Amino acid sequence: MQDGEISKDLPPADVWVDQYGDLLFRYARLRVMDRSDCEELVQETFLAALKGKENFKGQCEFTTWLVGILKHKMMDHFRRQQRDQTDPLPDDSVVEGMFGRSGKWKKFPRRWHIDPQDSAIESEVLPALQRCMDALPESQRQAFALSVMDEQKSEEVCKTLSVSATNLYVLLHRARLRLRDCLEKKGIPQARAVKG
Amino acid sequence: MLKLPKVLNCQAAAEMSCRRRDGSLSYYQRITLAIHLIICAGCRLMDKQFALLDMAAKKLGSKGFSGKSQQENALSLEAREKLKQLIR
Repeated sequence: MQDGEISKDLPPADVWVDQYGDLLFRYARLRVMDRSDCEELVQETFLAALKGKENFKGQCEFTTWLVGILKHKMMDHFRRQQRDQTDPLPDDSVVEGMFGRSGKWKKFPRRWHIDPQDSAIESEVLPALQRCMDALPESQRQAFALSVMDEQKSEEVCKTLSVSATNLYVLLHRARLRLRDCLEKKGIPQARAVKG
Repeated sequence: MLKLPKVLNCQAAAEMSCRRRDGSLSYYQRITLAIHLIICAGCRLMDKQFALLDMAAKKLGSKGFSGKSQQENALSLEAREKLKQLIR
């Protein structure tokens, strides 16, 4: 195979773990916080792929096929987890604490010295964002990952996470406020602001 | 009588700014938010930062980041060995 050529053949199963294991793990890890849950999802994916490998007809890259299976496994995982979620959502004291009684910022947002085309987004902001996502409460993290990161339609996300549309918007709004705050404290923009 | 949009506080503006991104803001609410953003520099920054945050999240979702070898983003040795036993 030449460099850059995409393989649409089924690779032998004994190389799957080494070739695709980390890729699948990273994909799951961005969306599901718990490491052991992620490892379990990767295992379920490989087992399903092994069982259904005759269904792989080379219509897409093998990686794409595997990620497709993983996505289904992840949605099942979310559905299992959220079944008991109660309505309405309890208050989020961290988010409430960002504003005073009159609803004004306690600490005004700072200017971020970074623009969307900046190469530092890739090298610095993305790792910081992943760390900040890890610090979110699980329900906010899942809502943000599916709605914003994966751009799924809100009706689909509501179904997967068993939340009402109103609650989904509340989860997304809280997640964004926490992430904004976290990036400002631990992310790159502030460090650059100090330097600049 | 002409009904003027209600004045928002920052907390409500943050919520509306997000709702606008998620596509669930009425025309009237959009105007109310726009007025708040004209008068509040802090919320103007927040509004821009939410845009950057969403853009970065999409990027993260589609390609991850380059720190591929980081231990926290790789299968543990035990998990890898267990998988290899299972999948042959």
